[in-house]
Amino acid sequence: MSALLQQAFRTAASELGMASAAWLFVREAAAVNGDDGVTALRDDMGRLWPVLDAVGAAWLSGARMPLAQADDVLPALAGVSRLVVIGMESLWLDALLAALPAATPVGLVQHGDPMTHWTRVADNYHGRMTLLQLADFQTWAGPRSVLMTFVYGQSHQQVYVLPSWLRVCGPDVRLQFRALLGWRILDVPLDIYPRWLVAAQADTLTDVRPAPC
Amino acid sequence: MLTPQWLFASLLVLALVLQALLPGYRLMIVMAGAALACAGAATLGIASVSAVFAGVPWNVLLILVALGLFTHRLAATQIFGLASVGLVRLARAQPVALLVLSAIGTYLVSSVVNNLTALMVLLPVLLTVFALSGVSQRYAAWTLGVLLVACNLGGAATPIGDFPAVLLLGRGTLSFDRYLADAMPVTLLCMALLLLIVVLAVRPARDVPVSVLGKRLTLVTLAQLYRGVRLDWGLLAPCLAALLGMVIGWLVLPAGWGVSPEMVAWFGAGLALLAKPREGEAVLKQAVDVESALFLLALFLMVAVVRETGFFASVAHRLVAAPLAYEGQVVIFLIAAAVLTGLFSAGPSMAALLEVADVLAVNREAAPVYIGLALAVCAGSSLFLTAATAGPLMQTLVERAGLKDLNGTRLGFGFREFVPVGLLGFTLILSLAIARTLWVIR
Repeated sequence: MSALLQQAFRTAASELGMASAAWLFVREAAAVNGDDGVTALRDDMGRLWPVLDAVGAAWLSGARMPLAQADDVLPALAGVSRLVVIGMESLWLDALLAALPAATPVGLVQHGDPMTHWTRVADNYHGRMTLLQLADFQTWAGPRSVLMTFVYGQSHQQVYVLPSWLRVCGPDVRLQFRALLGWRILDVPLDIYPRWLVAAQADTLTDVRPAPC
Repeated sequence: MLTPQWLFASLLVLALVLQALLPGYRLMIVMAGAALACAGAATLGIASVSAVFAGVPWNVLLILVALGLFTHRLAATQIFGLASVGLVRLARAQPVALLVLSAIGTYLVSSVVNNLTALMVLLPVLLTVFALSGVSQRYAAWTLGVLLVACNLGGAATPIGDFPAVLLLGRGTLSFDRYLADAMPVTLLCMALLLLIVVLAVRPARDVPVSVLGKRLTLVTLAQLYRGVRLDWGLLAPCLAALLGMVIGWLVLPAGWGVSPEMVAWFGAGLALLAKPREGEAVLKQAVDVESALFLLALFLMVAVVRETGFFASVAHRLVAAPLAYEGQVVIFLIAAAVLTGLFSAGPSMAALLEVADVLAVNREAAPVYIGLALAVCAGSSLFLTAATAGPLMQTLVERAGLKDLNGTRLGFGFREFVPVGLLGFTLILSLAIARTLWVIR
């Protein structure tokens, strides 16, 4: 079953995001087999999917919901004219788009798992989300544009982010956007090697919300 | 020395073989073949280029383009994606139920839209379910294979389902209601028998691992993947009205009024495009299936030249002159049609063999011969993965999905994997086509 579960999780993560898929899988495992099911899921897949491992650990510590509150980042997005998102996390993006003014354009850069069905991802937002490419996302730059990504953990002066972030966060990009915003979505430090993520310098982001404790 | 008959027939066969062997150059090959055929016919005094062009069923091309545009608008309403998700929920991710309901859904969709679109809208959902729930190679091959056969059957069930039927409608060979009344029951019977044999005898789901957690994850994840997708009622309502209008038009409008089937299709597509004018204009500029239209145009031109040489009439007369009862001649014709379709695909086979069917049907009740031909072509389309355009597309989509089985081995759906399904579908459909035709002409 392990190989099939790995494939299922990868499919879910490619379009929902690793953390969103992790919460879904952990909830279902708990619904079927309780905390033992979550522990088994961590044992089976935690090494390959550290985000799933972290979410499972959070569940076993008593957390039952992700920190998907748009209020965490809305202050940093006040007055934004365009928002460009690097990476996909459906739980967080759904909450954010529901809170943002409907007139604020939101672009999602198509980069990540080659198996992602990007049309289906965009269809969930019925016209609210524009799909962008790595080659042209900078056309959305401007003095009131914000570039945002998801932060999966912090350690010393580093943040754990998606590899796509390293493709876009150069010094030239920094000057083109009002802010390079990190939305911290996991509140449990990653205990094992952050596979599928990269460790970037914290100063590639101008702001991380919510701020670490 | 080659006679003109064999020269241009050989050119047609050569073009078809080359385009099958070199699919990356198929358009250039058939267009070159058509150009050579037209030039050769004019040079050898067989027929002028204008006469050859006059023999092209332009109305059929118009119907195909119009229905293609209509299908594009209908797909944009999200109805097919949401229906597919609903289908998976109805099956509760159970492998057998999923196979049966997917096949029935494919049959119904492909009876209205072209086969490629039917698969393009259903496969992403099905392949996602395969990825989420985990399947065996055997189950994947049989399910996908049955879907391909169901697609062909649905396409043969109605006069607008696929090219061979559209050709009959466009030529005025059969009326809309006559074709529907004659073809649909047979295709339904084929579908039912195919599913019975696969579910009860082949049993491809027996080695698919099923767990409570697996089923829950499949259903919940699929719901999340489509969490925000909504039906576009503003587009769907006009599309459904257009479809209803087209069906009524094909069924009811008297031929004497001069509103031919292609005009009905044109107006129906126009209504669907006008529902959202800006999008409709963009669709007209970007979504016309130029590749299919050019391929069929080239095909029609080569077939027209071969017809002008008298080749088809010669073949037909030899068949009619054979020392066989009429029923035997028809059986040979249907078997040959099915085998040729398996080798050369439905478009070329139907276009060429209709010429032979015309002779076979002289002084006889014509409808059984034409329906038999449409069903035989359907059988041939189901024989090999390469016999229908949808087959290689399905193979490509499965490869891109990168699915793996329980042991981590990559799942494949190629020529070899399709063979058992294809042989079953071919045998079943052709047998019923022959039985039905003999029953009617007896």
